[in-house]
Amino acid sequence: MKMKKFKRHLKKYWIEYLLLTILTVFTLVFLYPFYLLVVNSFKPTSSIDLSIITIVNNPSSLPSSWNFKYILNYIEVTQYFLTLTVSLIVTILSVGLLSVVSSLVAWMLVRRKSKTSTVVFLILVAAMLVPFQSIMFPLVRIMDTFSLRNIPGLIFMYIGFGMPFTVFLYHGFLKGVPKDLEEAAYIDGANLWQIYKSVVMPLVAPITVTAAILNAKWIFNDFLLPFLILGTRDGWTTLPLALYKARSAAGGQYGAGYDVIFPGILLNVFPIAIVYFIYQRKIVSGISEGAVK
Amino acid sequence: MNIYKKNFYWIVIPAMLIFFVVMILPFLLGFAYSFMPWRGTYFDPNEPMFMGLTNYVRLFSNPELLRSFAYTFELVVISIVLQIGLGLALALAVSKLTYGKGIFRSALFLPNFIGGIVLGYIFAFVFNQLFSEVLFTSEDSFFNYMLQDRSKHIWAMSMMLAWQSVGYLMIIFLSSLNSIPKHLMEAATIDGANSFQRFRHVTLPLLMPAITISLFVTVSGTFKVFDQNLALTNGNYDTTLISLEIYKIAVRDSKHDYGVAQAAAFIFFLVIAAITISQVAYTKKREVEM
Repeated sequence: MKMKKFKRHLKKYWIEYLLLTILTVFTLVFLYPFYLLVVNSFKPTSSIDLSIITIVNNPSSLPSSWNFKYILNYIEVTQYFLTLTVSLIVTILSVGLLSVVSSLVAWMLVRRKSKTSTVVFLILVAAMLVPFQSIMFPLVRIMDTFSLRNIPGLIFMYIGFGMPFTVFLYHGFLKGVPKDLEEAAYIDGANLWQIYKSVVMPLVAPITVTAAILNAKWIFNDFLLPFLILGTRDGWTTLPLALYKARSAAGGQYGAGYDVIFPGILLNVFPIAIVYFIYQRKIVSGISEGAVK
Repeated sequence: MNIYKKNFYWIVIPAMLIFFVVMILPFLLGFAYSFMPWRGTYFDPNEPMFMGLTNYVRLFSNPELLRSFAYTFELVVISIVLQIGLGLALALAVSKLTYGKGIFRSALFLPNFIGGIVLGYIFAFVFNQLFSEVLFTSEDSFFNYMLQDRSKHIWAMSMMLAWQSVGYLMIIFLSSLNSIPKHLMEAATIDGANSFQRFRHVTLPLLMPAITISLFVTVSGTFKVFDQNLALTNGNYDTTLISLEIYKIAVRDSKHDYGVAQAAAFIFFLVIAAITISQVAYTKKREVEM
Protein backbone atom coordinates (compact mmCIF):
# COMPACT_ATOMS: atom_id res chain seq x y z
CA MET A 1 0.00 0.00 0.00
CA LYS A 2 2.70 2.40 1.03
CA MET A 3 4.76 1.43 -1.99
CA LYS A 4 1.88 2.27 -4.28
CA LYS A 5 1.48 5.67 -2.70
CA PHE A 6 5.18 6.30 -3.07
CA LYS A 7 5.06 5.30 -6.73
CA ARG A 8 2.19 7.67 -7.39
CA HIS A 9 4.08 10.42 -5.60
CA LEU A 10 7.15 9.73 -7.73
CA LYS A 11 5.16 9.67 -10.93
CA LYS A 12 3.81 13.11 -10.16
CA TYR A 13 7.03 14.68 -8.93
CA TRP A 14 9.80 12.84 -10.78
CA ILE A 15 10.69 15.91 -12.83
CA GLU A 16 11.19 17.93 -9.69
CA TYR A 17 13.39 15.24 -8.14
CA LEU A 18 15.43 14.99 -11.32
CA LEU A 19 15.89 18.77 -11.46
CA LEU A 20 16.81 18.87 -7.80
CA THR A 21 19.49 16.22 -8.32
CA ILE A 22 20.94 17.90 -11.39
CA LEU A 23 20.95 21.30 -9.74
CA THR A 24 22.58 19.95 -6.59
CA VAL A 25 25.39 18.26 -8.52
CA PHE A 26 25.85 21.33 -10.69
CA THR A 27 25.98 23.65 -7.68
CA LEU A 28 28.52 21.47 -5.86
CA VAL A 29 30.84 21.49 -8.90
CA PHE A 30 30.13 25.19 -9.30
CA LEU A 31 31.16 25.99 -5.74
CA TYR A 32 34.24 23.77 -5.87
CA PRO A 33 36.67 26.69 -6.45
CA PHE A 34 35.62 28.09 -3.05
CA TYR A 35 36.56 24.80 -1.42
CA LEU A 36 39.90 24.89 -3.26
CA LEU A 37 40.78 28.31 -2.00
CA VAL A 38 39.95 27.47 1.59
CA VAL A 39 41.93 24.22 1.80
CA ASN A 40 44.89 25.51 -0.18
CA SER A 41 45.36 28.55 2.04
CA PHE A 42 46.79 26.21 4.68
CA LYS A 43 49.30 24.23 2.60
CA PRO A 44 52.85 24.76 1.36
CA THR A 45 53.24 25.19 -2.40
CA SER A 46 55.30 22.09 -3.05
CA SER A 47 57.74 19.68 -1.53
CA ILE A 48 60.13 17.04 -2.75
CA ASP A 49 58.82 14.78 0.01
CA LEU A 50 55.66 13.39 -1.60
CA SER A 51 54.19 12.34 1.75
CA ILE A 52 53.61 15.98 2.65
CA ILE A 53 50.30 17.40 1.45
CA THR A 54 51.03 20.37 -0.83
CA ILE A 55 49.08 22.67 -3.13
CA VAL A 56 50.74 21.41 -6.29
CA ASN A 57 50.53 17.68 -5.54
CA ASN A 58 47.24 17.49 -3.63
CA PRO A 59 45.11 20.49 -4.60
CA SER A 60 41.86 18.85 -3.48
CA SER A 61 42.98 17.26 -0.21
CA LEU A 62 42.39 18.78 3.17
CA PRO A 63 45.61 20.20 4.64
CA SER A 64 47.50 17.94 7.05
CA SER A 65 47.04 20.60 9.71
CA TRP A 66 45.21 23.91 9.75
CA ASN A 67 48.39 25.93 9.75
CA PHE A 68 47.69 29.69 9.74
CA LYS A 69 51.29 30.47 8.83
CA TYR A 70 50.53 31.41 5.22
CA ILE A 71 47.52 33.53 6.06
CA LEU A 72 49.41 35.40 8.78
CA ASN A 73 52.28 35.90 6.37
CA TYR A 74 49.97 37.48 3.79
CA ILE A 75 48.42 39.71 6.44
CA GLU A 76 51.85 40.95 7.44
CA VAL A 77 53.39 41.33 3.99
CA THR A 78 50.48 43.25 2.45
CA GLN A 79 49.44 45.16 5.59
CA TYR A 80 46.10 43.49 5.13
CA PHE A 81 44.10 45.33 7.80
CA LEU A 82 45.27 48.74 6.64
CA THR A 83 44.47 47.81 3.04
CA LEU A 84 41.08 46.42 4.03
CA THR A 85 40.30 49.68 5.84
CA VAL A 86 41.31 51.73 2.80
CA SER A 87 39.16 49.55 0.54
CA LEU A 88 36.19 49.81 2.89
CA ILE A 89 36.50 53.57 3.27
CA VAL A 90 36.78 54.10 -0.49
CA THR A 91 33.81 51.82 -1.14
CA ILE A 92 31.55 53.19 1.59
CA LEU A 93 32.27 56.86 0.85
CA SER A 94 31.92 56.42 -2.92
CA VAL A 95 28.71 54.42 -2.66
CA GLY A 96 27.17 56.78 -0.11
CA LEU A 97 28.06 59.97 -1.96
CA LEU A 98 26.99 58.43 -5.26
CA SER A 99 23.56 57.63 -3.85
CA VAL A 100 23.02 61.11 -2.41
CA VAL A 101 24.33 63.02 -5.44
CA SER A 102 22.61 60.80 -8.01
CA SER A 103 19.23 60.72 -6.29
CA LEU A 104 19.28 64.50 -5.93
CA VAL A 105 20.21 65.00 -9.58
CA ALA A 106 17.65 62.46 -10.79
CA TRP A 107 14.99 64.06 -8.60
CA MET A 108 15.68 67.49 -10.06
CA LEU A 109 15.80 66.15 -13.62
CA VAL A 110 12.45 64.42 -13.23
CA ARG A 111 10.63 67.23 -11.43
CA ARG A 112 11.93 70.19 -13.38
CA LYS A 113 10.98 69.51 -16.98
CA SER A 114 12.97 71.72 -19.33
CA LYS A 115 15.25 71.52 -22.32
CA THR A 116 18.25 71.63 -20.00
CA SER A 117 17.10 68.65 -17.96
CA THR A 118 16.44 66.60 -21.11
CA VAL A 119 19.89 67.41 -22.50
CA VAL A 120 21.62 66.63 -19.19
CA PHE A 121 19.82 63.31 -18.95
CA LEU A 122 20.67 62.37 -22.55
CA ILE A 123 24.35 63.16 -22.00
CA LEU A 124 24.37 60.94 -18.91
CA VAL A 125 22.72 58.07 -20.79
CA ALA A 126 25.14 58.44 -23.69
CA ALA A 127 28.06 58.32 -21.24
CA MET A 128 27.05 54.79 -20.29
CA LEU A 129 28.26 53.72 -23.74
CA VAL A 130 31.80 54.97 -23.13
CA PRO A 131 34.14 52.15 -22.09
CA PHE A 132 36.67 52.97 -19.40
CA GLN A 133 39.56 52.07 -21.70
CA SER A 134 38.76 54.90 -24.07
CA ILE A 135 39.19 57.59 -21.42
CA MET A 136 41.65 56.11 -18.93
CA PHE A 137 44.92 57.61 -20.21
CA PRO A 138 43.73 61.21 -20.53
CA LEU A 139 42.00 60.82 -17.16
CA VAL A 140 45.26 59.85 -15.44
CA ARG A 141 46.86 62.89 -17.05
CA ILE A 142 44.11 65.20 -15.79
CA MET A 143 44.21 63.74 -12.27
CA ASP A 144 47.96 64.23 -12.31
CA THR A 145 47.51 67.94 -13.06
CA PHE A 146 45.02 68.31 -10.20
CA SER A 147 47.32 66.30 -7.86
CA LEU A 148 44.48 63.84 -7.36
CA ARG A 149 46.40 60.61 -7.89
CA ASN A 150 45.52 59.47 -4.38
CA ILE A 151 42.68 57.98 -2.32
CA PRO A 152 40.43 61.10 -2.30
CA GLY A 153 40.96 61.33 -6.07
CA LEU A 154 39.85 57.72 -6.38
CA ILE A 155 36.58 58.47 -4.56
CA PHE A 156 36.07 61.57 -6.72
CA MET A 157 36.45 59.47 -9.88
CA TYR A 158 34.13 56.73 -8.69
CA ILE A 159 31.44 59.35 -8.16
CA GLY A 160 31.94 60.61 -11.71
CA PHE A 161 31.95 57.14 -13.26
CA GLY A 162 29.04 55.82 -11.24
CA MET A 163 26.83 58.83 -11.80
CA PRO A 164 25.42 58.02 -15.27
CA PHE A 165 24.18 54.58 -14.27
CA THR A 166 23.01 55.57 -10.79
CA VAL A 167 21.14 58.65 -12.02
CA PHE A 168 19.58 56.45 -14.71
CA LEU A 169 18.32 54.00 -12.05
CA TYR A 170 16.82 56.73 -9.85
CA HIS A 171 15.41 58.58 -12.86
CA GLY A 172 13.53 55.48 -14.06
CA PHE A 173 12.08 54.98 -10.60
CA LEU A 174 11.14 58.59 -9.82
CA LYS A 175 9.37 59.03 -13.17
CA GLY A 176 6.63 56.74 -11.89
CA VAL A 177 6.23 58.54 -8.56
CA PRO A 178 3.61 61.33 -8.46
CA LYS A 179 4.73 64.53 -6.79
CA ASP A 180 1.62 64.92 -4.61
CA LEU A 181 3.45 63.95 -1.44
CA GLU A 182 6.21 66.45 -2.09
CA GLU A 183 3.64 69.16 -2.79
CA ALA A 184 1.83 68.38 0.44
CA ALA A 185 5.08 68.64 2.37
CA TYR A 186 5.87 71.92 0.60
CA ILE A 187 2.49 73.40 1.50
CA ASP A 188 3.12 72.36 5.11
CA GLY A 189 6.21 74.56 4.98
CA ALA A 190 9.00 72.04 4.41
CA ASN A 191 12.13 73.26 2.65
CA LEU A 192 14.06 71.39 -0.05
CA TRP A 193 16.23 69.40 2.37
CA GLN A 194 13.30 68.43 4.53
CA ILE A 195 11.35 67.25 1.48
CA TYR A 196 14.35 65.30 0.25
CA LYS A 197 15.06 63.74 3.63
CA SER A 198 11.57 62.82 4.74
CA VAL A 199 9.69 62.33 1.46
CA VAL A 200 12.02 61.49 -1.41
CA MET A 201 14.66 59.40 0.39
CA PRO A 202 12.19 56.93 1.93
CA LEU A 203 10.40 56.68 -1.43
CA VAL A 204 13.53 55.74 -3.38
CA ALA A 205 14.86 53.39 -0.67
CA PRO A 206 14.41 50.21 -2.79
CA ILE A 207 16.47 51.73 -5.62
CA THR A 208 19.07 52.95 -3.13
CA VAL A 209 19.53 49.33 -2.05
CA THR A 210 19.93 48.16 -5.65
CA ALA A 211 22.30 50.98 -6.56
CA ALA A 212 24.36 50.48 -3.40
CA ILE A 213 24.81 46.75 -4.07
CA LEU A 214 25.78 47.21 -7.71
CA ASN A 215 28.11 50.13 -7.01
CA ALA A 216 29.73 48.49 -3.98
CA LYS A 217 30.32 45.27 -5.92
CA TRP A 218 32.04 47.13 -8.70
CA ILE A 219 34.03 49.63 -6.62
CA PHE A 220 35.26 47.17 -3.98
CA ASN A 221 36.54 44.81 -6.68
CA ASP A 222 37.85 47.42 -9.10
CA PHE A 223 41.46 46.89 -10.06
CA LEU A 224 42.29 48.96 -13.11
CA LEU A 225 41.52 52.43 -11.77
CA PRO A 226 43.53 52.04 -8.52
CA PHE A 227 46.27 50.39 -10.58
CA LEU A 228 46.48 53.38 -12.94
CA ILE A 229 46.02 56.03 -10.26
CA LEU A 230 47.98 54.66 -7.30
CA GLY A 231 50.36 52.46 -9.29
CA THR A 232 52.41 49.68 -7.73
CA ARG A 233 54.54 51.97 -5.58
CA ASP A 234 54.47 51.55 -1.79
CA GLY A 235 51.81 53.28 0.21
CA TRP A 236 48.08 53.03 0.75
CA THR A 237 46.42 50.67 -1.63
CA THR A 238 43.23 48.66 -2.16
CA LEU A 239 42.68 44.92 -1.70
CA PRO A 240 42.76 43.75 -5.35
CA LEU A 241 45.81 45.91 -6.05
CA ALA A 242 47.58 44.52 -2.97
CA LEU A 243 46.91 40.99 -4.21
CA TYR A 244 48.31 41.88 -7.62
CA LYS A 245 51.43 43.34 -6.03
CA ALA A 246 51.92 40.32 -3.76
CA ARG A 247 51.49 38.00 -6.75
CA SER A 248 54.03 39.94 -8.81
CA ALA A 249 56.49 39.97 -5.91
CA ALA A 250 56.07 36.21 -5.35
CA GLY A 251 57.78 35.95 -8.73
CA GLY A 252 57.65 32.88 -10.96
CA GLN A 253 55.03 32.64 -13.62
CA TYR A 254 53.90 29.10 -12.82
CA GLY A 255 53.63 27.19 -9.61
CA ALA A 256 55.73 29.47 -7.49
CA GLY A 257 53.96 31.65 -5.03
CA TYR A 258 50.73 29.68 -4.64
CA ASP A 259 51.22 29.79 -0.87
CA VAL A 260 50.98 33.59 -1.16
CA ILE A 261 48.26 33.72 -3.80
CA PHE A 262 45.77 31.39 -2.10
CA PRO A 263 45.75 33.14 1.29
CA GLY A 264 45.54 36.43 -0.63
CA ILE A 265 42.54 35.27 -2.62
CA LEU A 266 40.90 33.93 0.53
CA LEU A 267 41.41 37.21 2.37
CA ASN A 268 40.05 39.14 -0.62
CA VAL A 269 36.94 36.99 -0.87
CA PHE A 270 36.36 36.73 2.89
CA PRO A 271 34.91 40.22 3.54
CA ILE A 272 32.70 39.94 0.45
CA ALA A 273 31.43 36.51 1.47
CA ILE A 274 30.58 37.69 4.99
CA VAL A 275 28.59 40.67 3.79
CA TYR A 276 26.94 38.47 1.16
CA PHE A 277 25.83 35.85 3.66
CA ILE A 278 24.46 38.38 6.12
CA TYR A 279 22.47 40.29 3.51
CA GLN A 280 21.82 37.61 0.89
CA ARG A 281 18.04 38.03 0.89
CA LYS A 282 18.26 41.80 0.51
CA ILE A 283 20.95 41.48 -2.14
CA VAL A 284 19.08 38.97 -4.29
CA SER A 285 15.79 40.87 -4.07
CA GLY A 286 17.54 44.20 -4.64
CA ILE A 287 19.15 42.90 -7.82
CA SER A 288 15.88 41.35 -9.00
CA GLU A 289 14.03 44.62 -8.55
CA GLY A 290 16.73 46.61 -10.28
CA ALA A 291 16.79 44.17 -13.18
CA VAL A 292 13.12 44.52 -14.05
CA LYS A 293 13.27 48.30 -14.20
CA MET B 1 6.00 74.43 -7.35
CA ASN B 2 8.97 76.67 -7.99
CA ILE B 3 11.11 74.93 -5.34
CA TYR B 4 12.48 72.66 -8.11
CA LYS B 5 13.15 75.57 -10.43
CA LYS B 6 14.87 77.51 -7.68
CA ASN B 7 17.20 74.68 -6.68
CA PHE B 8 17.76 72.96 -10.01
CA TYR B 9 21.02 74.61 -10.96
CA TRP B 10 22.91 74.55 -7.70
CA ILE B 11 22.24 70.84 -7.38
CA VAL B 12 22.81 69.81 -10.98
CA ILE B 13 25.82 72.00 -11.80
CA PRO B 14 28.26 70.74 -9.11
CA ALA B 15 27.34 67.14 -9.90
CA MET B 16 27.79 67.68 -13.62
CA LEU B 17 31.11 69.36 -12.93
CA ILE B 18 32.47 66.17 -11.36
CA PHE B 19 31.03 64.21 -14.26
CA PHE B 20 32.63 66.64 -16.71
CA VAL B 21 36.11 66.33 -15.20
CA VAL B 22 35.97 62.55 -14.90
CA MET B 23 34.25 61.56 -18.13
CA ILE B 24 33.61 64.30 -20.69
CA LEU B 25 36.95 66.08 -20.50
CA PRO B 26 39.04 62.87 -20.78
CA PHE B 27 36.82 61.74 -23.63
CA LEU B 28 37.30 64.95 -25.61
CA LEU B 29 41.01 65.13 -24.77
CA GLY B 30 41.41 61.49 -25.76
CA PHE B 31 39.75 62.14 -29.08
CA ALA B 32 42.08 65.09 -29.70
CA TYR B 33 45.15 63.08 -28.62
CA SER B 34 44.31 60.39 -31.16
CA PHE B 35 45.41 62.88 -33.84
CA MET B 36 48.60 63.87 -32.02
CA PRO B 37 52.00 62.32 -31.27
CA TRP B 38 51.06 61.88 -27.61
CA ARG B 39 53.50 59.95 -25.42
CA GLY B 40 51.59 60.01 -22.14
CA THR B 41 53.26 62.97 -20.51
CA TYR B 42 54.60 64.90 -23.50
CA PHE B 43 54.28 65.20 -27.27
CA ASP B 44 56.97 63.71 -29.49
CA PRO B 45 58.82 66.78 -30.84
CA ASN B 46 60.00 64.83 -33.89
CA GLU B 47 56.49 64.57 -35.25
CA PRO B 48 54.04 67.28 -36.32
CA MET B 49 51.62 68.36 -33.57
CA PHE B 50 48.60 67.55 -35.70
CA MET B 51 49.14 64.28 -37.52
CA GLY B 52 45.80 63.84 -39.23
CA LEU B 53 44.88 60.20 -39.44
CA THR B 54 48.45 58.89 -39.09
CA ASN B 55 47.71 57.21 -35.74
CA TYR B 56 44.69 55.46 -37.23
CA VAL B 57 46.71 54.28 -40.23
CA ARG B 58 49.43 52.94 -37.93
CA LEU B 59 46.77 51.24 -35.91
CA PHE B 60 45.30 49.32 -38.80
CA SER B 61 48.71 48.23 -40.00
CA ASN B 62 49.26 46.67 -36.55
CA PRO B 63 48.27 43.00 -36.97
CA GLU B 64 48.18 42.38 -33.21
CA LEU B 65 45.45 44.90 -32.66
CA LEU B 66 43.26 43.43 -35.38
CA ARG B 67 43.87 39.97 -33.99
CA SER B 68 42.86 40.98 -30.50
CA PHE B 69 39.76 42.68 -31.88
CA ALA B 70 38.76 39.51 -33.72
CA TYR B 71 39.53 37.42 -30.64
CA THR B 72 37.32 39.65 -28.50
CA PHE B 73 34.44 39.35 -30.99
CA GLU B 74 34.79 35.58 -30.88
CA LEU B 75 34.69 35.65 -27.08
CA VAL B 76 31.59 37.86 -27.10
CA VAL B 77 29.72 35.46 -29.39
CA ILE B 78 30.65 32.40 -27.31
CA SER B 79 29.75 34.23 -24.11
CA ILE B 80 26.32 35.27 -25.38
CA VAL B 81 25.39 31.68 -26.22
CA LEU B 82 27.00 30.09 -23.17
CA GLN B 83 25.99 32.59 -20.50
CA ILE B 84 22.47 33.38 -21.63
CA GLY B 85 21.77 29.72 -22.44
CA LEU B 86 23.05 28.51 -19.09
CA GLY B 87 21.48 31.39 -17.15
CA LEU B 88 18.10 30.74 -18.74
CA ALA B 89 18.34 26.97 -18.23
CA LEU B 90 19.21 27.44 -14.54
CA ALA B 91 16.38 29.93 -14.06
CA LEU B 92 13.86 27.56 -15.66
CA ALA B 93 15.10 24.66 -13.53
CA VAL B 94 15.13 26.63 -10.27
CA SER B 95 11.69 28.13 -10.94
CA LYS B 96 10.20 24.61 -11.15
CA LEU B 97 11.34 23.72 -7.63
CA THR B 98 8.97 23.80 -4.67
CA TYR B 99 11.71 23.86 -2.03
CA GLY B 100 15.26 25.16 -2.05
CA LYS B 101 14.85 28.00 -4.55
CA GLY B 102 16.54 30.44 -2.20
CA ILE B 103 19.58 28.25 -1.57
CA PHE B 104 20.32 27.72 -5.26
CA ARG B 105 19.76 31.39 -6.02
CA SER B 106 22.19 32.53 -3.32
CA ALA B 107 24.80 29.87 -4.07
CA LEU B 108 24.89 30.41 -7.82
CA PHE B 109 24.93 34.19 -7.47
CA LEU B 110 27.92 34.32 -5.10
CA PRO B 111 30.74 34.22 -7.75
CA ASN B 112 29.30 37.38 -9.27
CA PHE B 113 30.66 39.31 -6.29
CA ILE B 114 34.25 38.27 -6.88
CA GLY B 115 36.53 40.69 -8.68
CA GLY B 116 38.33 40.02 -11.93
CA ILE B 117 41.86 39.77 -10.52
CA VAL B 118 40.86 37.24 -7.86
CA LEU B 119 38.84 35.34 -10.43
CA GLY B 120 41.76 35.16 -12.84
CA TYR B 121 44.14 33.85 -10.17
CA ILE B 122 41.69 31.18 -9.01
CA PHE B 123 41.12 29.93 -12.53
CA ALA B 124 44.77 30.13 -13.52
CA PHE B 125 45.25 27.54 -10.77
CA VAL B 126 42.22 25.52 -11.88
CA PHE B 127 43.41 25.34 -15.49
CA ASN B 128 47.16 25.05 -14.92
CA GLN B 129 47.19 22.74 -11.91
CA LEU B 130 43.87 21.06 -11.24
CA PHE B 131 42.96 20.40 -14.88
CA SER B 132 46.40 19.86 -16.37
CA GLU B 133 48.23 18.06 -13.56
CA VAL B 134 45.44 16.20 -11.80
CA LEU B 135 42.26 15.68 -13.82
CA PHE B 136 43.27 15.72 -17.50
CA THR B 137 46.94 14.77 -17.56
CA SER B 138 46.88 13.35 -21.10
CA GLU B 139 48.38 15.79 -23.58
CA ASP B 140 45.67 14.96 -26.09
CA SER B 141 42.94 16.07 -23.73
CA PHE B 142 41.21 19.31 -24.65
CA PHE B 143 41.36 20.37 -21.01
CA ASN B 144 45.12 19.88 -20.71
CA TYR B 145 46.94 23.24 -20.49
CA MET B 146 44.12 25.32 -21.92
CA LEU B 147 45.84 28.62 -21.17
CA GLN B 148 48.88 27.95 -23.33
CA ASP B 149 46.95 27.71 -26.58
CA ARG B 150 45.05 30.54 -28.24
CA SER B 151 42.18 28.39 -29.48
CA LYS B 152 41.73 26.51 -26.19
CA HIS B 153 42.18 29.60 -24.03
CA ILE B 154 39.06 31.22 -25.44
CA TRP B 155 37.01 28.36 -23.99
CA ALA B 156 38.81 28.56 -20.67
CA MET B 157 38.09 32.28 -20.58
CA SER B 158 34.43 31.67 -21.54
CA MET B 159 34.04 29.12 -18.75
CA MET B 160 35.52 31.52 -16.25
CA LEU B 161 33.29 34.40 -17.36
CA ALA B 162 30.28 32.10 -17.29
CA TRP B 163 31.13 31.07 -13.74
CA GLN B 164 31.11 34.73 -12.80
CA SER B 165 27.97 35.77 -14.68
CA VAL B 166 25.38 32.97 -14.87
CA GLY B 167 24.12 33.64 -11.35
CA TYR B 168 23.35 37.24 -12.21
CA LEU B 169 21.63 36.32 -15.47
CA MET B 170 19.69 33.60 -13.67
CA ILE B 171 18.36 36.17 -11.18
CA ILE B 172 17.29 38.48 -14.02
CA PHE B 173 15.46 35.61 -15.74
CA LEU B 174 13.91 34.35 -12.50
CA SER B 175 12.41 37.72 -11.66
CA SER B 176 11.07 37.95 -15.19
CA LEU B 177 9.62 34.41 -15.03
CA ASN B 178 7.92 35.23 -11.73
CA SER B 179 6.13 38.16 -13.32
CA ILE B 180 4.43 36.00 -15.98
CA PRO B 181 0.76 35.79 -14.99
CA LYS B 182 -0.46 32.24 -14.24
CA HIS B 183 -3.69 32.66 -16.19
CA LEU B 184 -1.80 32.98 -19.49
CA MET B 185 -0.25 29.56 -18.94
CA GLU B 186 -3.57 28.05 -17.95
CA ALA B 187 -5.28 29.52 -21.02
CA ALA B 188 -2.57 28.07 -23.28
CA THR B 189 -2.93 24.65 -21.62
CA ILE B 190 -6.69 24.70 -22.10
CA ASP B 191 -6.17 25.62 -25.74
CA GLY B 192 -4.14 22.42 -26.04
CA ALA B 193 -0.58 23.77 -26.15
CA ASN B 194 2.09 21.30 -25.01
CA SER B 195 4.92 22.36 -22.75
CA PHE B 196 7.27 23.23 -25.61
CA GLN B 197 4.60 25.30 -27.34
CA ARG B 198 3.85 27.07 -24.07
CA PHE B 199 7.52 27.92 -23.69
CA ARG B 200 7.90 29.04 -27.29
CA HIS B 201 4.73 31.12 -27.58
CA VAL B 202 4.04 32.33 -24.04
CA THR B 203 7.17 32.26 -21.90
CA LEU B 204 9.77 33.28 -24.47
CA PRO B 205 7.99 36.40 -25.82
CA LEU B 206 7.37 37.56 -22.26
CA LEU B 207 11.04 37.00 -21.43
CA MET B 208 12.17 39.37 -24.18
CA PRO B 209 12.76 42.34 -21.82
CA ALA B 210 14.96 40.14 -19.64
CA ILE B 211 16.81 38.89 -22.72
CA THR B 212 17.44 42.51 -23.78
CA ILE B 213 18.98 43.25 -20.40
CA SER B 214 21.08 40.06 -20.38
CA LEU B 215 22.36 40.70 -23.88
CA PHE B 216 23.33 44.21 -22.88
CA VAL B 217 25.05 43.00 -19.72
CA THR B 218 26.87 40.16 -21.48
CA VAL B 219 28.01 42.08 -24.55
CA SER B 220 29.23 45.18 -22.75
CA GLY B 221 30.72 43.12 -19.93
CA THR B 222 32.65 40.80 -22.24
CA PHE B 223 33.98 43.58 -24.44
CA LYS B 224 35.44 45.36 -21.44
CA VAL B 225 37.11 42.31 -19.84
CA PHE B 226 40.52 43.47 -18.64
CA ASP B 227 41.31 42.23 -15.11
CA GLN B 228 40.49 38.61 -15.93
CA ASN B 229 42.68 38.70 -19.02
CA LEU B 230 45.56 40.24 -17.10
CA ALA B 231 45.29 37.79 -14.20
CA LEU B 232 44.65 34.62 -16.21
CA THR B 233 47.35 34.76 -18.90
CA ASN B 234 48.61 38.33 -18.91
CA GLY B 235 48.00 38.14 -22.66
CA ASN B 236 50.72 35.53 -23.14
CA TYR B 237 50.37 32.89 -25.87
CA ASP B 238 48.59 35.36 -28.10
CA THR B 239 45.55 35.64 -25.82
CA THR B 240 45.30 39.43 -25.53
CA LEU B 241 41.79 40.87 -25.63
CA ILE B 242 41.15 44.36 -26.95
CA SER B 243 41.07 46.17 -23.60
CA LEU B 244 44.42 44.76 -22.55
CA GLU B 245 45.81 45.42 -26.04
CA ILE B 246 45.01 49.13 -25.72
CA TYR B 247 46.82 49.19 -22.40
CA LYS B 248 49.77 47.28 -23.87
CA ILE B 249 50.20 49.60 -26.88
CA ALA B 250 50.55 52.59 -24.57
CA VAL B 251 52.31 51.26 -21.49
CA ARG B 252 54.23 48.12 -22.35
CA ASP B 253 55.48 48.75 -25.86
CA SER B 254 58.85 50.46 -25.82
CA LYS B 255 57.54 53.26 -28.04
CA HIS B 256 54.89 54.28 -25.48
CA ASP B 257 52.71 55.46 -28.31
CA TYR B 258 49.74 56.76 -26.34
CA GLY B 259 48.49 58.49 -29.49
CA VAL B 260 48.00 55.19 -31.29
CA ALA B 261 46.50 53.66 -28.14
CA GLN B 262 44.06 56.55 -27.99
CA ALA B 263 43.08 55.98 -31.63
CA ALA B 264 42.44 52.32 -30.78
CA ALA B 265 40.44 53.42 -27.74
CA PHE B 266 38.27 55.66 -29.89
CA ILE B 267 37.58 52.89 -32.43
CA PHE B 268 36.78 50.64 -29.46
CA PHE B 269 34.24 53.19 -28.22
CA LEU B 270 32.61 53.41 -31.67
CA VAL B 271 32.30 49.64 -31.92
CA ILE B 272 30.76 49.29 -28.44
CA ALA B 273 28.37 52.19 -28.98
CA ALA B 274 27.22 50.89 -32.39
CA ILE B 275 26.67 47.34 -31.16
CA THR B 276 24.89 48.37 -27.97
CA ILE B 277 22.57 50.85 -29.67
CA SER B 278 21.57 48.54 -32.52
CA GLN B 279 21.13 45.61 -30.17
CA VAL B 280 18.91 47.49 -27.72
CA ALA B 281 16.89 48.95 -30.60
CA TYR B 282 16.45 45.53 -32.22
CA THR B 283 15.38 43.63 -29.10
CA LYS B 284 13.13 46.46 -27.95
CA LYS B 285 11.19 46.08 -31.19
CA ARG B 286 10.58 42.40 -30.45
CA GLU B 287 9.29 42.86 -26.93
CA VAL B 288 5.56 42.36 -26.49
CA GLU B 289 3.39 44.79 -24.63
CA MET B 290 1.32 43.26 -21.87
